[in-house]
Amino acid sequence: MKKDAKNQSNLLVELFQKKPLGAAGLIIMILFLLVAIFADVLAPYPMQSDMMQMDFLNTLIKSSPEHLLGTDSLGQDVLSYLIYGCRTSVILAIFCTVLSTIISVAIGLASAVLGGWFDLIVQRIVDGFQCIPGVLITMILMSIAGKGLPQLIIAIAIPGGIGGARVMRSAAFAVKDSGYVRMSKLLGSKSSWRAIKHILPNIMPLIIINMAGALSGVIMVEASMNFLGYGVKVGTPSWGYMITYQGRANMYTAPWLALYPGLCIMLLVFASNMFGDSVRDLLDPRLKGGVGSYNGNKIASIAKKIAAKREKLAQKA
Amino acid sequence: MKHPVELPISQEIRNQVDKEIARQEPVPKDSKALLRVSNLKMYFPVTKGLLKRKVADVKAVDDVSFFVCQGQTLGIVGESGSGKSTVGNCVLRDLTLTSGQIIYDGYDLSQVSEKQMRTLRRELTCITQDPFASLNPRMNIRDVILEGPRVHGIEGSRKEQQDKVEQMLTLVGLNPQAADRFPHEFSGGQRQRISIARALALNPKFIVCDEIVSALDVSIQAQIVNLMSRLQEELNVAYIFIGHDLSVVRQISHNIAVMYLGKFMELTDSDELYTHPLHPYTQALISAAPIPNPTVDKGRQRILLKGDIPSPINPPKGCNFCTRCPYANERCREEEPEYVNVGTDAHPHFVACHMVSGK
Repeated sequence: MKKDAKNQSNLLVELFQKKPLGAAGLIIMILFLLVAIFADVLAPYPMQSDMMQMDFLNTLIKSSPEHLLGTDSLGQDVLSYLIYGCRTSVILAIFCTVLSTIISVAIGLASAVLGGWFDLIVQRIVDGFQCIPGVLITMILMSIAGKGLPQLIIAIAIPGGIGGARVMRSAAFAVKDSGYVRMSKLLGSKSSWRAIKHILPNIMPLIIINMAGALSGVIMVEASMNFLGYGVKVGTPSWGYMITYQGRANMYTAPWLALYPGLCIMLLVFASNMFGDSVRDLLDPRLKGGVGSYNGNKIASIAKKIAAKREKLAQKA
Repeated sequence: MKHPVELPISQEIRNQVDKEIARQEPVPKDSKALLRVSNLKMYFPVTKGLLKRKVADVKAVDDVSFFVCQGQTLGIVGESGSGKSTVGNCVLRDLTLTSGQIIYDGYDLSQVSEKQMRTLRRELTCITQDPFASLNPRMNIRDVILEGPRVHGIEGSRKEQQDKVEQMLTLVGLNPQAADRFPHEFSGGQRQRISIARALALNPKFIVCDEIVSALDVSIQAQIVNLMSRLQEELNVAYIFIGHDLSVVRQISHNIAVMYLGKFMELTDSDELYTHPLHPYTQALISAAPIPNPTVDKGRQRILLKGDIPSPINPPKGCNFCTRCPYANERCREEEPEYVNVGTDAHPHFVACHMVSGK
């Protein structure tokens, strides 16, 4: 356990040293998370009894000292709305992504490792799910489970996870047929051992890329669920709600209503992508270092030495 | 078909094997050989159409019998597609055999349960051909070597694990400090050594070496073969050494089997095979192997075989080799030669050829 902790801290240090962009991504994500947690403190117009404050005398203001990012058609402060929306959107994005990834990896791995009849049946079920649009499944699940954030997380994660299972399965299949998995079997390992020790680490890059991609999708799905009236409880602020309700209605008169939440979504997706990419690179020992890795400083120092030698030779001549 | 006669082994080894076998007795006692394969057949069905109708069989291995004693090596040579690797995979139970019996240390490998087989894999392991594919790129060398012990739950304490890794790396001639490196940091020969260390970490009694030197260059081949011989002396491991390079196989093998189109053509001890090859195919193979002395090489006669190895789906009637054999006659094309011992009991020499057995 002790060693694992050490490894993890090494990963963080390496992230900051070698992948500044990935570190920036991590910092942005942490900032968003902090904003979500301290929304009540940060927002200039905090929610009162679960409602955003409305000011019908100041609707659709562009920007003013009182309302830094303007107001929407109900006179709600956009900045406060964004900060509270962060809470819903970030929590939803993180939990949904993690949950859907777990679902797809579990289904994909089991399908690839067990193979045979299990694979056939599970994959036909996956096919069945993919015939129906994911949003429809989410709507059905939501109408069964009722409104609320946890329900929404599960309802979005299930179709997303089942859709991703296909990709995980094919990746796992490719690894399963490799020489080292066969060797592991011939050493006497069980299929669960092979799945966890060999297949999982080798499809990790795909999992991380999938997660980064899913994150943006989840926020958009949440927006459309909100639009369809199946979202979180009415009145709960979220970025998706801002774009779909306020933003679209006032696209020509007040474009900032869609612009700011759009920028936030973009920033979060960008951050998660950069972070995911960097972690993937750091987790891959082939890209990590050792013999044959690229080391700019070392090459520069060698080049300097050669140049110095040449100069000496030139001077002698 | 006659049952093959026992190959000579020392009394000491015989006693040792007896003692080992006395541990458990699920099948009739076989007091001499560590591995006894009899009438092994491995057919791969060729299917056609939507209903997967079976139209033919690829006879990859067709009626092969041999045995391997503790601490000895059986070399198997033959050209591509002759079924050498399939024999190895059958012994490892990577394939389910069509028929025949493989008895390892008193266990019938085609009958034992999956769980029992997993336990047996502690003693019966393998090293494969491709050193680049057989190591997980995301596992460091320590984990690679300890995989076997960990799978079987015998890895011990952290200290013992460290000792084991160091011991194994030293044994195969690698720096023990390399334990924390990853496979991509090693060359092909070093990776093959790591594969060997992984196989040895379980203290196996039997290793199937499937073309372990074919992917390496000649100087490394020599190193690896010498290493394998040394390990055999030190650890008393038995090998099945599969290869297509005659000189390499000769170096390490006590007995050599020559395989052609899924059948054993000749089986005898390695010196005998090289000095007195009896089967025309063996003669052709040996005459094709280069001799590192130009004067000798110039003087000798080459036996050139015409044509290609026939399809194992539809092997020729009679002797498998009759389509390419320079001595083939009517009888060879009609009647399948028996695989018989033409040597003495002390120095057996099995061969499947009408010309040699002279009947």
